[in-house]
Amino acid sequence: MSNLRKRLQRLANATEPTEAESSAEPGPATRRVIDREPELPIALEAKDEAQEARRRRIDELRERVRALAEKPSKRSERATREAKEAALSELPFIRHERVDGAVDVRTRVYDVTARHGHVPLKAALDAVGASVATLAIDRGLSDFDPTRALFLDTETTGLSGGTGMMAFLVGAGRFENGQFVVEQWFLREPSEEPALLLALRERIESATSIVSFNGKAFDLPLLRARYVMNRLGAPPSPPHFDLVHVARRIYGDRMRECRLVHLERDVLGFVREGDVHGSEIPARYSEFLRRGNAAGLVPVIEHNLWDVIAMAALVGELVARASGGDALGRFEASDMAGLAKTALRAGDHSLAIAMAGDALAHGRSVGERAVVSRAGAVAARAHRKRGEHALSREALLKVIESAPDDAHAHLELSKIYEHKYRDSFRALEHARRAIGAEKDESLAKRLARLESRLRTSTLKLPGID
Amino acid sequence: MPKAPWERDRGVEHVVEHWLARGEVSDCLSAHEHYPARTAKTAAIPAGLHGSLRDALSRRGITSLYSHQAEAVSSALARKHTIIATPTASGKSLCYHLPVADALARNPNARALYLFPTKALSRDQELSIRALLDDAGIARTAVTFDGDTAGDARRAAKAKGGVIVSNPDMLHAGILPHHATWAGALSALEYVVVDELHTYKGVLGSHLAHVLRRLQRVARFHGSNPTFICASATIGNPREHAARLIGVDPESITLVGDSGAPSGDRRVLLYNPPVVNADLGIRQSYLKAAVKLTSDLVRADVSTILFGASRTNVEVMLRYVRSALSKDDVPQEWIQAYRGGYLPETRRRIERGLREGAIKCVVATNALELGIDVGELDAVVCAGYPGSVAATWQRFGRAGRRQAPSVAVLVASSNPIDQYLAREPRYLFGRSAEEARIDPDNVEIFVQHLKCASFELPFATDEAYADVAQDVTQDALAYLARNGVLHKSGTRWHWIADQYPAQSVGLRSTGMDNFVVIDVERSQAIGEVDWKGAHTSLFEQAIYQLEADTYQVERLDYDNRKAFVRKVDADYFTDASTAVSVSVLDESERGSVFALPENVCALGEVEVTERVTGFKKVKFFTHENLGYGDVRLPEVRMQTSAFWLTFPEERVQALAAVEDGIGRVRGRSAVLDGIRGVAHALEAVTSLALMCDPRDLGYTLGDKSDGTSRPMKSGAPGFDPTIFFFDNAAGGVGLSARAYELRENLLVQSRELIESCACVEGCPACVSPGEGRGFASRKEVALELLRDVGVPRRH
Repeated sequence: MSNLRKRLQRLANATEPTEAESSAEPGPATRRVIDREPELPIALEAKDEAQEARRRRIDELRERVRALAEKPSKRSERATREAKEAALSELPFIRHERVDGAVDVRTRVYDVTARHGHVPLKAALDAVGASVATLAIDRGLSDFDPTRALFLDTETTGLSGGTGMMAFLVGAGRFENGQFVVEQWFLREPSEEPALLLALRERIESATSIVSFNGKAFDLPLLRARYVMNRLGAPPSPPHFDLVHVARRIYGDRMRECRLVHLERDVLGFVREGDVHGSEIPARYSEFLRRGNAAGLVPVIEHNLWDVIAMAALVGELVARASGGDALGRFEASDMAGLAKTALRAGDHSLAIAMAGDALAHGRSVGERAVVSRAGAVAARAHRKRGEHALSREALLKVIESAPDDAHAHLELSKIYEHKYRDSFRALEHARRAIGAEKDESLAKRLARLESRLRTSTLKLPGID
Repeated sequence: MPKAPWERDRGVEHVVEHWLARGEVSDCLSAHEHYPARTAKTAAIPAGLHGSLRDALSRRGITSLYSHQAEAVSSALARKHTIIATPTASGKSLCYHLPVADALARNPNARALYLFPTKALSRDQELSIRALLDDAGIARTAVTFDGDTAGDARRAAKAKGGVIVSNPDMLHAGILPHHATWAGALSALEYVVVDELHTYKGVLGSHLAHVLRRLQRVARFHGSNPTFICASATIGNPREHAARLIGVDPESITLVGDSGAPSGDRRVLLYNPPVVNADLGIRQSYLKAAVKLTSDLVRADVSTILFGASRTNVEVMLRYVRSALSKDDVPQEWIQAYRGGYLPETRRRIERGLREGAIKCVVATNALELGIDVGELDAVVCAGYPGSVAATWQRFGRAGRRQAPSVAVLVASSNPIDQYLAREPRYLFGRSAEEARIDPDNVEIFVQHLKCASFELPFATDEAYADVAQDVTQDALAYLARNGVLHKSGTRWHWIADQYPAQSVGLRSTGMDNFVVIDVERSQAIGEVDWKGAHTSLFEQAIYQLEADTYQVERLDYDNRKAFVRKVDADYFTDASTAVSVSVLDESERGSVFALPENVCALGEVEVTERVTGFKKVKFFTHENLGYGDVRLPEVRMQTSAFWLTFPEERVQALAAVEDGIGRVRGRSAVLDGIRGVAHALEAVTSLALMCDPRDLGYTLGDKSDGTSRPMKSGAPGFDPTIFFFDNAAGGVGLSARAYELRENLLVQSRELIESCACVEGCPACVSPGEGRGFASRKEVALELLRDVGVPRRH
């Protein structure tokens, strides 16, 4: 294989071609003598020669490109086409003729009493707008209606993003007449993309919200770009409940990686068998397109289906927790603390206090000091927001009871004593143990202020209680 | 006894008069050109310009434009591609700001894209277009979009940046691959401004040509067809260069080349430092000579730029100028250095100081060659020839007021090229600037960008990519499909690979991270050094010079790209020496050259290794050598493609044995010098034939057996001197493969180049001046070598 050929192969392929691939490459090398030596412009190029020179350069480029781009034989083209047709019959899709073109679709219907792991799908139907808005920290979701939500997940030709990536498989689930219906549209040929996008748009248009896992950053921008690229009007953008952020806030503490399959295993209690890893998916589709290999795609289709179902189940699990239920006791103390913090950020102070209380109790009983600290801090802040300073102080005192060195708790206590109780002595005591909880300069000022106030105080120092 | 400042004689004219009157300067002048003052040529503000801009100009006191500005603005307003190639400081930015602002004033959705080669320039022009928009009351703004732009600002740029200020690399890897999210901006893109066009030559220029083709293709998709406005320093072929970059017919481009800006009286001097040791032919240090001339100027209150060839030179000269002027009550802050690696805020401070006159003298590297706004300066001193006629005039152009007289001095170093210029100054004055060359048809570059373009927008099965013929485009797409990155579906070629092609295509060959220089006492970053430069300047014990302070490198954290330095009061600086070697990794083809046997010429993969071999300590002012040190640093390795040509040892020995009429033997070193001459000529014709920049090609003389040892002077057998030509970019970009194919043709052209050159002993245009070994000139030996291997005369 000639040098130029080798380098061009590297240019064309990020990955080295496999042995089989390179030997299948037709043989003639590009080693070739240019029979007509081009005239090289050594002098200043005259204007009227420019056109001529341009034509000559294109001729040369043509030769060089031809040398590397032998035409594939008609026979191998036909063989690939036949293989693909055979492959399509192995895939579980039904050809659906629409006015805008044909699209391959599979529809699976589940009774809502079916469980994914230990969560019945119908749990998601209990979702009320207020809880979802709290979980997502997004007021835009206050009107969330599970029966009009579209659970959306895509499989794409690449994972890095950018205009050249397509969604070749789109799964969309919805609740309908006591059932959970999942449609999956598949792109047997990239040229059929418009029909798929239009079919999807109908579903998006009749939904009042979208549920996804990382769809805000990945699936939706990618799909929007696809509508632009196909010169189709953009679909509407209803409120979007992206579970990845919720899951990170609530389960992030105990899970190193918050991928959907991990949540499914650790939270929903479902373990996939024969699942394909997300990073392998693009290559499997390109294998299908190039060589008609369908076997590799079957697990991808299941993967996508699982993802859609898992999102529905995860919504059920989350809203059950947000409404305070944990019948099976699967909720861990750190999850409660995470939920409490989420509720605090969403401005739902009573939920924050309730969850933080549970987390505090649960955390103390299992001795998770970090959870106790976090939950205590949340409870204290939620109480403070409601003007309940005594309760706020109590929550903080509980924290330092089990975590005596929690600098942040000491700082908060110092502030409460200084500003709400006018008790500079206690404020100083706590401030001295708050090193690291705020900037050194601020803490130094705080200490100086409290000390000078104590010195000038006409009151005697209070006794130790 | 120095005079008090108010007693001193001031001004450029006074200094020049004084120099000419004094033998010690005037005797060393090998050229003295005088360009009398020119008055402004003005023209009416083009009638088509929006009223708000006309008003804004008149509020600034501008009621007419310079002729070239009016010409450029009219052309751009008529939506003709326009290239402005006028000298520095002729008011080029206004030529593109006005039409762009006009478009924004007329269409509330209109957008423009500005491309600059460096971030510093982007910033200047962003502020300047903003000011114009404000003055004209146009409620639009300019937003920078580059690698440093944060997420929110990026969204703002997309959403409402009237002018998006960016650079080619960002356009290539950050905007085009995501163009669907830029639909709003791209659908209303009216102008694209490419400034400093002359910097995009060779491989970088070929890449940019494709980036601009991709931009136009994507813009058409979104429904726009932008007009290009380009600005360039003086080059030999501005219109052709712009045409090839944009991918249009040269006839469709308006060339604005005659500046209507006034210029003051100007003198250009070529100063060759005096001989201090006649026996050895040693001249006074050109750095010190340049410092002396600069001090004369600054002492007379003349604002001056002193250009140096390297960062070390710049720092050393800064120290010398400050020291020379310390006796004259000149405040040290008047004299500053400016180079790559200074922190942005330091640069800003110096630029401002120059504009406001608080800084009188700046010692700079080529970092100040480009159009950074430093106001008007009176004098330029250039220590050493910068390597091309174009760069020389660009440096000279940094000084020169529109009304007052100015002076530019080139101080020749002892380098053979500089000495040639001192002998033959017409080379500099009588010749137009070099042409900028690019080759978008380089098949490797073409294929890489075809991939990027496919990713951005699937090609139709009957589409032609830019100015490439349809059948060529389609063949190349079929090739990509066979390699699994594209898939033909219906009437389009779809991208199906799981990768993002722009990420693996770099426009510039320098990719590695910069090193940060940290002062251990203040725990603070004080500077930056590019990856390659770090090897020669940040080794442990090196003296790192910064604004006339010396720091010693205590520890180099190579993996984390950090150098820890401590301020010391050193009376020396360090100078690293490097060695380049080439070793053959894989030979893919072999061929003959004329009379030489089959095995002399080959094409293959090589490893080019650059190693810092050690350093010496050089005393400030005296340049005494205070000692040597070792450097232990990883080698800089680059794998690339190369072609090489071996001169068989028996031929070398035969030529070395030649005697002149009086019994002197030529000697092997003279033959090797001749081979270097052949290599230089070959480089010149190759970069012309391949339309690349000489910097894109590297060459070195080595030994083909392992390439690490240089031929010995003793003439020990088995050392076949070999010229290696390699692509100066990791992985190669196909230049040496083309050169290999064309080798005989190139040798014929080399012979023609040398024979037709009017010089006597060799000049920069042919074999490059030799080192004067033996009795024959480099030119003669080179020609003899070519004849000896059977290179025919071109018929």
